[in-house]
Amino acid sequence: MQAVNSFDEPQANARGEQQQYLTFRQGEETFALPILVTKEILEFPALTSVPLMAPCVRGVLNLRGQVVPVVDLAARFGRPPAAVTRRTCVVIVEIGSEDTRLDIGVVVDSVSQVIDIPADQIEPPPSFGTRLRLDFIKGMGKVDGQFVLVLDAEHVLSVEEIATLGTVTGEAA
Amino acid sequence: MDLYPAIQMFLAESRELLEQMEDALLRLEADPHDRDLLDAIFRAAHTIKGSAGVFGYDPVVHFTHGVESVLDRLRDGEFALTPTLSALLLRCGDHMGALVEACTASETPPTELISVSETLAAELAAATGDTQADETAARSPAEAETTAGPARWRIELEFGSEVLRNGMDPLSFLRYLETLGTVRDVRTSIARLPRWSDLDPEACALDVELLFEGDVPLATIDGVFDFVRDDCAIRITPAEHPDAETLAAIADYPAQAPRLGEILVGSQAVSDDTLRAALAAQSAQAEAGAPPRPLGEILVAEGATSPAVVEAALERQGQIKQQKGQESRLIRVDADKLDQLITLVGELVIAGSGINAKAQRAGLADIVESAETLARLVEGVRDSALGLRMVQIGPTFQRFQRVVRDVSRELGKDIELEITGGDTELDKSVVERIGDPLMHLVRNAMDHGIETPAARAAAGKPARARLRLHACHDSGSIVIDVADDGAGLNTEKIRAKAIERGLLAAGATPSEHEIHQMIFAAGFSTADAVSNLSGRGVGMDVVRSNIEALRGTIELESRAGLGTRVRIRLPLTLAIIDGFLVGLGNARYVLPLDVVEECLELSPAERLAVGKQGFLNVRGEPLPMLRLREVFQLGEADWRRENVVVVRFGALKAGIVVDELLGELQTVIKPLGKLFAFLPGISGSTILGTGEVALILDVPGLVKRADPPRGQSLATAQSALS
Amino acid sequence: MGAAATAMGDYLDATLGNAPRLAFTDELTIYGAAQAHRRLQDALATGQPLTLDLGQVSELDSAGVQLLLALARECDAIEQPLIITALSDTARAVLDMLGVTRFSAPPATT
Repeated sequence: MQAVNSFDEPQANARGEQQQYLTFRQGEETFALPILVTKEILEFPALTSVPLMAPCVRGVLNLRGQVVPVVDLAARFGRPPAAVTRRTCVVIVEIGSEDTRLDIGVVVDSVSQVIDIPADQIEPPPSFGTRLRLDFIKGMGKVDGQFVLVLDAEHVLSVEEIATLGTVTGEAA
Repeated sequence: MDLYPAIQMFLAESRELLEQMEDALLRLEADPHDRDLLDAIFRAAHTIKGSAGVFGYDPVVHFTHGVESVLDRLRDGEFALTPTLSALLLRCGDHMGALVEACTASETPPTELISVSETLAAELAAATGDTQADETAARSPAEAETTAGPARWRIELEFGSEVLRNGMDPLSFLRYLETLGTVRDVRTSIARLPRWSDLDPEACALDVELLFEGDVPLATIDGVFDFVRDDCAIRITPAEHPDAETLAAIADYPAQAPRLGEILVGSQAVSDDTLRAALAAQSAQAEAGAPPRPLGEILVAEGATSPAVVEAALERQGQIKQQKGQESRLIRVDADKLDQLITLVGELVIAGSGINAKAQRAGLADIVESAETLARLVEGVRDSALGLRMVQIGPTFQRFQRVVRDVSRELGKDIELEITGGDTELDKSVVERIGDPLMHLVRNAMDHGIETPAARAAAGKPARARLRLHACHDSGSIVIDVADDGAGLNTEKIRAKAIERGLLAAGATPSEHEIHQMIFAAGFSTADAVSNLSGRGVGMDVVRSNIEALRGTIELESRAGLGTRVRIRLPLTLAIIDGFLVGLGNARYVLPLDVVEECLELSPAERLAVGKQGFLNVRGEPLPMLRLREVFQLGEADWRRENVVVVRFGALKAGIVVDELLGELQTVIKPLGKLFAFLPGISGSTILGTGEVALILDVPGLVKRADPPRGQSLATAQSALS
Repeated sequence: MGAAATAMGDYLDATLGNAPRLAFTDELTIYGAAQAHRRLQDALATGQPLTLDLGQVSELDSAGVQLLLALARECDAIEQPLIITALSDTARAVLDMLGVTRFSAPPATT
């Protein structure tokens, strides 16, 4: 599996606010994640599935000797799992804070580009209209006339939540 | 110069020494006259004082000096170690620790600490009935070490050629010596001066010999010649051979430097320069190709010392060498470096497996042979590397001696701590994290389990209660027991509380054992009062989650009136394991090899039988079966044949049904991470030689998951059997 | 170096018969050691007994002592008598300090 891209230091504007985002597509929508949390993009790799986990946990992959869990974004959003195409990628995201950093891979349909979204161009998420959980979305940005949903990585990839899904209680993702 | 590493080392060593001191003091309570223990505590204090002095931590030096004096008198038998004194010394040890921590953290420790030093020093003085103790503490410790050595010295000087040209004059040294003591019997010689017609009038070739009498340390005398040290041969030897004193010094020579020369210099039998000259002569001989004479011989021949002294020094040297051979030789290793090494070894293991596999597949016989040799060597390296991480649990257990002693006194109970299996080894990381849960269990036992002496007497039990910490290996796990002979769990109370909390239906009739397990429920505590030490009567739920975080299990057994035993099982979390690889469809799983007993094929007929009854008849015995596919909800297999891996843990066996048996392998354990923390049946992952990720099965966890009642009864049966 | 040189140079060559009589006055130290050596060499070369007057020596250092000792040794070697006729207090003290007893002489009169 190839690493498509790794990122340099993010650029901050004069006010020190981070503005660069990685945009990608999942289903019909375009999402964005701050560059700071994304570490790497991989072409869709061989995955080892892990039994008894929630459907959104696709499995684990071997990233240069490190075993990294992989989450299916579509399944996490309550949609059917993504079909794997030529353009399907896994974005390695780093979540957590000082003591408890964790790398998690996220399956996305395709990766678009890195763009600048100034802070004042990001509006709070609408309370209706999106079919996603509100806490998954940090805000909505407008880029080239298109809406981009800025994800809240900590909530989307909440370890506490995902770990307890799909256990004996048999809850769906 | 970066002192940080040195300071860290001082800190680590001081902590260790203070622990040793505490340990020895506690053991002295049983036998207050044990000479070795008394020596040990003295040495510990002495060493800390010395090291602290190197870093200039005066508060530590001053306070420790006072303690050391008391300890010195103690070991001399001047007074006995009473319980009061022992308790005071323990507090002093604690305070030394506090001072060390404070001084290493910031140069000037808080004033409260200093006033504690003074208070304790005063208490020490009072306890040893001696107001001298205070003064000794106040006096600079350096003074205590001054007066020693004979009062008469022979000084032999061979002044080098440049001495005069450099503006020095032998006369001025003589005059200076006169200020320090008495100079007599001076003899001056020009033996080294060339003939009259050849000599250089400005070049010095004078030899001066004299006797010096003075109550000054050798170092001071030697220091007189500092300015000509480079251009003058200086030899200072005791004038009369005061063998008695020197011999005593030799006998007391610390067991550190086993070199003869060092012993002689350290005991002030010869001076440094004398030694150096002799060593130079020795190596000159060696260079000339002649077999070098022993150092002792050279020194005696030059009149630097007497044969008796040399003999004594040699004897002491032999003594020290023997001692050293018996002591364990330890080396401190940076934990990060060790982890790096283990990781590399892990990669080596994987790479080795890869080579082996490919060689086998390619069928190249000689490469296969080399690969196998390589694999054997890698295994050796692996075992050694892993062995580095293993530490004994003994020291962790020993720390509880103090706790049990202090708390039992506080509670007014008489509790004796018994420790067995202290030499059981476990991985360093586990040892570090087992301390807290153990502490909770020990405190619970002391607080709730063990009765007061009165209550025990009324129950016909010995007044002294026993608390036992035990560790051993068992079937690939570490077992740690915390057991007491107290009153046991109060079943009724627990039942009542469980009903109150809705954990139990009012009419239900669970077994006593099942009721006991309820104390593991979250927030469950039947402690009537919030006791001082256990806080809120620390919940067993907290203990259990700590143990489970180590991928261990915890079980509890209790009998009313007889006592309670908590048993913790921990995996030997080695970074690299020997495993057995099995296949289930396209997936690969690894079982720890040490739980695997044998492998069997499962014929279609047997498969049917197993399907019906859940058992397989193996040589007349029923073997409970576990279908991995079912457990993992992977759907039915399309195999005509299935295989069974028979596993054993504790006293129980089970058969795990898989598709393929793929053979043995060594591999590195890669933790799966918090995302998979609640995943039962799987304890980790590993990367195969092919780059695939395989999951490592947690066999006890699997059995429990597959069939909870059976898992439970298995566990109960297991603990009943052991 | 000037003062010392003249000090050393301040000896009187006097002859009693053919026997050289040398007197050192002021310093007999390293500063004039080389020069003294030469002059003493010349004196020795005469083959005559050597008389040395050290009654005026104001300062004597180890170089001076060394030279004197060497002179004495040489005289012994060539069997040429060496006579010290006077020693200043300073010279005596220095020689005592170094344990040199070779040059016994009647005490200086000054």
